[in-house]
Amino acid sequence: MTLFKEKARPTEGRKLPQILQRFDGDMTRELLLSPGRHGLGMTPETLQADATVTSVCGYCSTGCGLRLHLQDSSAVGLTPETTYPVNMGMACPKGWEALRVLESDDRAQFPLLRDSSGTLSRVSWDAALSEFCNQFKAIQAQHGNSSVAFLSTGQIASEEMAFLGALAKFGMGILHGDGNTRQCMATAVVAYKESFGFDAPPYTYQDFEESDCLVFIGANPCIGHPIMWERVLRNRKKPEIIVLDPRRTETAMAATQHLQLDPKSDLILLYAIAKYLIDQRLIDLDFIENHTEGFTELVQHLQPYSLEYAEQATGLKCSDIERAAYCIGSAKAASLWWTMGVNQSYEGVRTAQAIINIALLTGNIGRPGTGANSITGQCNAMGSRLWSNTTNLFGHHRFDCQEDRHKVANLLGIPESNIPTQNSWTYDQILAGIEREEIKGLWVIATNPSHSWLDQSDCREVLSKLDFLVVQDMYESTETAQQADLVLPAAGWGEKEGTFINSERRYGLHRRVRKAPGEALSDFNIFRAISHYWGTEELFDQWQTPEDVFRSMQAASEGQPCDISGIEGYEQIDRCGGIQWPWSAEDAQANNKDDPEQERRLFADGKFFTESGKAKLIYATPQEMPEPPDHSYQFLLLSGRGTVSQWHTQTRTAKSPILRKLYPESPIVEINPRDAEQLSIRNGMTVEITSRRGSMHATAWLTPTIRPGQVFVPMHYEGTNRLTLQHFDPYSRQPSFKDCAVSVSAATS
Amino acid sequence: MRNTEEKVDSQTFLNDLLAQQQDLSAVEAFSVNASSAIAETPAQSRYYKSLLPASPPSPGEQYAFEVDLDKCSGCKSCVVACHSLNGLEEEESWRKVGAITIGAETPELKYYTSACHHCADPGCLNGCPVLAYDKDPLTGIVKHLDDQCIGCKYCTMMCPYEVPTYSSRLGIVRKCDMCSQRLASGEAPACVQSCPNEAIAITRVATPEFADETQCVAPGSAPSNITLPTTIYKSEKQVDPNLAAEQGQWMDEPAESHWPLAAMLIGTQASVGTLVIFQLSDLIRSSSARVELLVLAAAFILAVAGLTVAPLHLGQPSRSWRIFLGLRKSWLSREGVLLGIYAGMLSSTVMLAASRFWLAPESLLNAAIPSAISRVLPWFTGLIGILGLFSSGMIYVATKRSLWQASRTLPLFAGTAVVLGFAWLGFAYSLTAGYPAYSIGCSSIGVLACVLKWNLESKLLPSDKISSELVARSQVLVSGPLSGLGSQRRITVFAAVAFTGLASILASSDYQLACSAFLACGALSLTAAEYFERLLYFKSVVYPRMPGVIQ
Repeated sequence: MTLFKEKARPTEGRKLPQILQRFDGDMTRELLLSPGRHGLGMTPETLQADATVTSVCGYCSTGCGLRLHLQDSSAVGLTPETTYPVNMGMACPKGWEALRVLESDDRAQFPLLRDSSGTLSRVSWDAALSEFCNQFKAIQAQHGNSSVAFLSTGQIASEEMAFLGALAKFGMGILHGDGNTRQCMATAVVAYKESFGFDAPPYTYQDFEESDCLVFIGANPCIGHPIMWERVLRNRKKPEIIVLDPRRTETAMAATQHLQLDPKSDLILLYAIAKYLIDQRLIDLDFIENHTEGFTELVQHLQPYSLEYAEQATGLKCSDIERAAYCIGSAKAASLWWTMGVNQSYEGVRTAQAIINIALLTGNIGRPGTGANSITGQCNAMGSRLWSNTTNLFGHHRFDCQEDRHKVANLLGIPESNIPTQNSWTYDQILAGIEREEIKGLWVIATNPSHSWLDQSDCREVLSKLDFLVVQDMYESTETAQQADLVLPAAGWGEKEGTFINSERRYGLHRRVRKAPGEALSDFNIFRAISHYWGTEELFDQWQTPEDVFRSMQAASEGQPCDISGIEGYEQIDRCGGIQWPWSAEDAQANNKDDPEQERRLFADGKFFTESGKAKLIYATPQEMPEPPDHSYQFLLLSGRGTVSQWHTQTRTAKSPILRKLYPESPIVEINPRDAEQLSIRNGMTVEITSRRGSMHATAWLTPTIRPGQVFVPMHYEGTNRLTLQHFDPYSRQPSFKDCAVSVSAATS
Repeated sequence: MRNTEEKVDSQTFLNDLLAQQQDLSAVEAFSVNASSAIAETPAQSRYYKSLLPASPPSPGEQYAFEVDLDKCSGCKSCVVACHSLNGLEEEESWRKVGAITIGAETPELKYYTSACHHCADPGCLNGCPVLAYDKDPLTGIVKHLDDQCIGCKYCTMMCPYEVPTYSSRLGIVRKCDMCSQRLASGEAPACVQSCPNEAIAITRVATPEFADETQCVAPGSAPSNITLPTTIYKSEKQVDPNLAAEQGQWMDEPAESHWPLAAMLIGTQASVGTLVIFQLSDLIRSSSARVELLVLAAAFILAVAGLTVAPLHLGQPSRSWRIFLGLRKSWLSREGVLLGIYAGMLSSTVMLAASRFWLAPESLLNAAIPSAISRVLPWFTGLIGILGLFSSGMIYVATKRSLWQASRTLPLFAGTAVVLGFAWLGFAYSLTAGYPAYSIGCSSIGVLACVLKWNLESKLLPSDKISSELVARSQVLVSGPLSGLGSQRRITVFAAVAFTGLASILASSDYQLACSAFLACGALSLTAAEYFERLLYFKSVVYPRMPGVIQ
């Protein structure tokens, strides 16, 4: 198809000679595109490739395939992979800029050790690793093995997590370790484990396209997961889209129904919906009977949650709740999706289970377009859940189960006695342990608690009590690295390889296509080096490459719901556009060794992973939030994702000049114009936001999308967590980031 | 302690790891797509085929961007893809995305993605002094000719949508060309092929010939009658522009100062003012040849000073000789050409005056030039100068920015000519004994005119309904981030009053040199005051904008 012929020179009426009107020259040629090879289309010089490979993106759990343009095996640029089954040729701005952030000036290039004058200065790897071992061993010798702990991440490869978990717990004798996934997904994990018997998000992205009714609870995929939203818009069934969110978000705007409920009234609303469904017989009694437990008790529990009661508690109209509930109950295929609005709550587990209950009651599980579906946060939060060896023993086994310990010990060829018999402390408990001076040494990998943890000032103070703090990160500029005694420079995404597991349980591969700066090493190789210096090299000598670890993971998964023993190896994962778990050796056998289908979901047979094989209907009495607004702190602070182009503490996203242009440089606070008028605040003014724990300055952004009495601050700015309140879900120990009281006033500058 | 052997072993081990980290050969192990064939159709075409028109525009039609507001979720992938797929600079993208909210109780939030609107009557093209823009007759795509551009940035003022952006590395502006190279080979523009929601398409539209002043492409953007933009924003829900609020409202940043332009304007206006006022005063009482020479020399120096600074505003001054190309449409061309001629004529005038002063009337040169020419030339020069000043004013009037409308710009510019004309004339008179009344009189009129102008300026601001919000926004800048410039102006005006006052005390004394010096200081102070006025004129301008990101 040719739409028109590009003319080198115009003809009509313009006959000026080139000397007078220069249509060509060096500057014009700078933007010349040439026909791209490898099916790339017209390509600028900067993106010209002599070969391409596919890697899954290293930001969020969507797990998009990115086509890396290689010149001499080194990536010069990227475009979204056209055929990858997740993103279908598209990517969000973060993905487009994934390579650029590797080139930042503040990359950690050499090990840094705090010297006697208190400054971090360059040392050799030998010195750094010796110091690492000497310090931690000395602490352990004096205060016991459990006095050293680690905080890991959802941002490194499964194989690296597996190595870290094994090295720390089976090699170094560490007892307590947790991940920053505690901040994003712990609630979903616990909810699934209790309800389904395993941490098993049941869906595949095709469900976005096949659902007649999509319910988003505390989720704003337009901004948080834009490529999942792409899949929603590919739904040709004109689905009903229902959004439960206190803010009028982009997703709420695109929905057919927005239930703009009062913050933290979601549990009551979900109970009222469940009760309505039961009362109106919009439920699947067969399914309930055969595949669930606890129905009678649930019906009993739901008694008080009438529509009228919910109207009072949520601020919504009865008729709106009824309409939404009816749509869910009458849809052929309804799916319910949640993310941080639910997970980051002091009663998140029960809220997630209230969502699961609705799916179970209506039989919306195991069929196309259905499910109670947790949308994950980080690129490898799912990998962390299975392989980090923190909450669960390697491969979703149990530390407190002798049989499991025996199995894992055999499989990895390590003495069973090296495996702790106790569960680890959670993130908040580890920090509390430091506070109580029971933990004296901490190893932080690819996360930034000094920015991202609740009540930040307190967190920084706690970390400063440590005898030895090691930070292993791509960047030496993170707030936590600045506090560290030792910084280990890590290679980043693109400079190493391994697998991530995305939200829909898909193992995807990322490849090494860039040289790491300076002496930075992949996390995998840092773990190998530590193991060497710690003296546990023989214990892990079967793990020379990430794929070696992957094979151990396959062996450990055998017989588990997350069985991946049927995967041939990295090559097959790459060839298939990722492979979802489960894919057991039997599955592969039954499939004549053909590649698995690209989109698969769980529970088609109605069999769950509980002992009885039935899903559990779990509920609790809703609780009040601990710090509601009052006379002195009149506003409720909501926090969350700011824009698509910002990620977490902006350790990476802030390093791309073009991304930086896509969001406000300094913090903003969204305030309802009515509140602003009362406070004499004009759009663009600098205001001070204060909580009982700290304060920050932000630019006032007047918008009616936030309700009066509430303010919203994006989480990416360093000041935000100075305000937040330490409180947690009692079951998942996940922080409740989105509810604390603040005051707002025009800043006195 | 580990022994030495172990140490060596460890070092080897570490070296291995470090070497491994720098080795990229592993990526070749599998699945590298290295087929070098140029595919008939690019892989992505499956997604964008339906987003391109089936055939080229017919006569009377052109291509346009069509944005489906209901599909855009505000992810801004288009912005980054434009940057990436066009190989642009670190911070450069030809697209931007901004949000507006509509209504208060259950508000709508809409994202507007915008690039060049490929206008039917492009402001950039009309304003360009060197014909560095070309509107393709077939596609209607407005292309910028990067090798023709002189980097004067006038298009950044003429475009109501802030589309052309200046690159300091290249010294030119660049802008969206609808990926015409891609369209020419049947591929979709970068933004079209990267939108996950298929919100941007290329479509054929009838080339607009008319828009009324109430029409705009997006709520809050400039009226479409200025340049006839072609982008279509469609939505099933009607957007009531009266209820729309852009995210960045009241969050204006000071605009660029264009200081070389400000200096050029002040210099040339002072020059023309001095010349013309002198010619007029000469009608009343003709001055001596010495006075004439000094005044004309002063006017010449002022003009040269201004015109010498002006090229500092250009990114590619060596290309600026083509500035006459745009005479047909561009006020900037006209200004450049007229002020160039003015300076040339003024130098002749000065030379004639010099010859009259230094050479005997019967000398060859004086005899060769008819006296009529000597008499008419200064008047003619003044006339060209006035036309040049008028063109200077029209440069800004032509942008159709309310705050720069003719009723404000022209009086301001003319006022500067009057203020500085009198001030410098007064100084020039003071250099010759026997003109104390003239010199103090002119200087005092200059100071008074400045004070008067200063006080009347606020009355020149537009007062119509649409402009009143712009004026208020501009005032926020003036009283906020630009308050420093205001103070500097105040101080220089007071200084001029003081210097001129001191000079008038000394005028009838024997200290003529001191008197001249004070008048010179007075004139310099007024020049500075007017320069600050002009910086404020540039920096405090606000205008309707496309929704964009607040920094």
